Amino acid sequence: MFNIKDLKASIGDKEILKGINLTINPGEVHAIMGPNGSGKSTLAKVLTGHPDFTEAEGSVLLKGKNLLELDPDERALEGLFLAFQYPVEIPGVNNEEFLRMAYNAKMKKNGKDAVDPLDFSDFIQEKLAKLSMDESFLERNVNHGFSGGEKKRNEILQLLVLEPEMVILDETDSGLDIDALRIVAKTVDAYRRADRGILVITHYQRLLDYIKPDIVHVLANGKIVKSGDKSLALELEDKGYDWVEAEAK
Amino acid sequence: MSNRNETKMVVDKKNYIDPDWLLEIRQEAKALFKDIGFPNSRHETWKYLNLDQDLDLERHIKKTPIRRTERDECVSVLFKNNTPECESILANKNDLIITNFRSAYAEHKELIKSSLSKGLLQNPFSYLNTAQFDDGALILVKEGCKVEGPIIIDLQTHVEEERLKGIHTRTLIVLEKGASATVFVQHHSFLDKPEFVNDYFDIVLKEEATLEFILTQEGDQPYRFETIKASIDTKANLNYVSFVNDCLVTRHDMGVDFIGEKAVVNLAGIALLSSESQYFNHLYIDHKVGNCDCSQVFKTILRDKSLSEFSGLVVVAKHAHGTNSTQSNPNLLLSDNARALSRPQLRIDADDVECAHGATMGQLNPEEVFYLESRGLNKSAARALLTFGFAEDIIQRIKQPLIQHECDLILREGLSSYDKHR
Repeated sequence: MFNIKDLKASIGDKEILKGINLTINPGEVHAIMGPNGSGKSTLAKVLTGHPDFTEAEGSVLLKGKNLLELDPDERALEGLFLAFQYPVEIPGVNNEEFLRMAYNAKMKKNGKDAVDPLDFSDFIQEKLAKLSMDESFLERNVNHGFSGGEKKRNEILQLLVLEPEMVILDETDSGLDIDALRIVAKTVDAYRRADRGILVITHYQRLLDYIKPDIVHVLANGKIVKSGDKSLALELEDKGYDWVEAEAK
Repeated sequence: MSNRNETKMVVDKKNYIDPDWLLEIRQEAKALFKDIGFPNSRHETWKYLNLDQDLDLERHIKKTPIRRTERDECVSVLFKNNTPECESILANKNDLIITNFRSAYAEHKELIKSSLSKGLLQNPFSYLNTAQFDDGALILVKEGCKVEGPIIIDLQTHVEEERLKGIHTRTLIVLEKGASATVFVQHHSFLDKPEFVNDYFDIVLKEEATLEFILTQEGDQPYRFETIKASIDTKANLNYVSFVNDCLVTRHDMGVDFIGEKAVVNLAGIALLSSESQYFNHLYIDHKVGNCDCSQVFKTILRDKSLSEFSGLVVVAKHAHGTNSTQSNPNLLLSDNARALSRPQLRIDADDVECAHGATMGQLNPEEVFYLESRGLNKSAARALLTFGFAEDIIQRIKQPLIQHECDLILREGLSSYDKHR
């Protein structure tokens, strides 16, 4: 369902992604691990259409459509979702209103009627409960003044509202305490379904204790240099990345 | 002149003449106005406002829609041009007094006199106001009184047989010790000729008094100048929000004097400017005593060929230790032809203070636009939402729910046309 072919991306003259190939089949969870500066976050940005990377080469197919030819909002409406590493704070914009606008954009795309605030309010209560989030989250402005952990939870709340088919989590575990990590990870794990794909970008394998990946990839110097099963994550945790990078050379 | 005589004069409106002390103050103010002179571009604080500019004034006359939500609970002071109509306001004399100056010269002479004796530095129009105002409105909240609903000051400009020589309104708001109130100022114009309007608000907060003061201004007279002077005593609290919605030429001069410690003042404002609108916002914050907090956030959204000027000066006196004063002036420029000028300034003579100031000029943050797009909102919707949020952040600082709701509606209406301009 999700096919990355020979994906290359640069900032200025510096090539950051040097030809990435990756296929995620429906129902699969893949993890990408790698040292700092290996291109993990760039990959997430390129896939979602960040304005710094409009010139990416290669192809990214989601259900047969090449995402690289679409604007960021069109990619989202095709079913792609990125949980940001650093969610943006938006003062003055009410969280519930924003969630409803995003939800209604999806409804419109699917040819359905927009939901009114009252119906949406009922709909979202159940999602909040899953994440043990207080109702006051809805009254606050989008991520404004949120703690690191609250921001990450808010990302997962958006995930539950928008119900995308292909999910990318960019270091969602960073900034979470142990309890919050468990709640967030379990929620994501429960989101797994035969028709959905998940790509987890992370530094540490602890998140993978909860969201068990089918395949683990190591990204180094802009390329996937090794792939394996869950045990690869444990090996990396144990030995670090040097040996993989050395092996790749 | 005895008090009794003064009271009599009020009753006899036709033959009313100002009491002698007022005539003296008016003479002094007139002299000061002449002394400073009619402002021109050689005056530092009037550099960018060309009063002789050739603006197509009549084209810009916009009659303001009357906006009224459910205000049954509110007390209103109505100004028709220069004159307040507040003699008939029913207020419990022990708690809240709302009256026109002429009826109050006898009983509250010292209060009014000390207010009228003040002017704002560099703003000749505040002196002109003292020299020219007809009658003023006094809002006096007595010690410990908590006024529940908002007090509305409705400044209306109407057509008169004779062409007016400018409109000068004067309002004095005094909150005694421990009193609290919300005052909401709005403008309505029924004119079809351009008029110069020069409003003056004097705010006096005694110890532990709490005032929320919201000033809104919508497309009306081509020239509207507002002077707001606030004196803040110990542990008093002022929450001030201004909202300028596309007026042709607006100037705000605000002066805040801290005269007692542990006071908290929050000042915020949003201005939406389009076509050739110009907004000049001048702040003068005087920390005469220490241990007071003052935050100032004034935002502007500029389109087309609009212009804004922000000049804010925070002065911390030598012994005003423990002062915490922050000033920021973010400007959102949505057109290549709009201009924003910003001069946040600090003058600190004390050692132990926390002060910060800054200004930003720019477009919407691309990271924020991308974040919203990544959730399925198209670029135009994302930009509209961010522009709204930029302004709404200020409106949310209004604590009085009725007024916040009303301003929120005006904002949504004001921004509804913004999409087309991008």
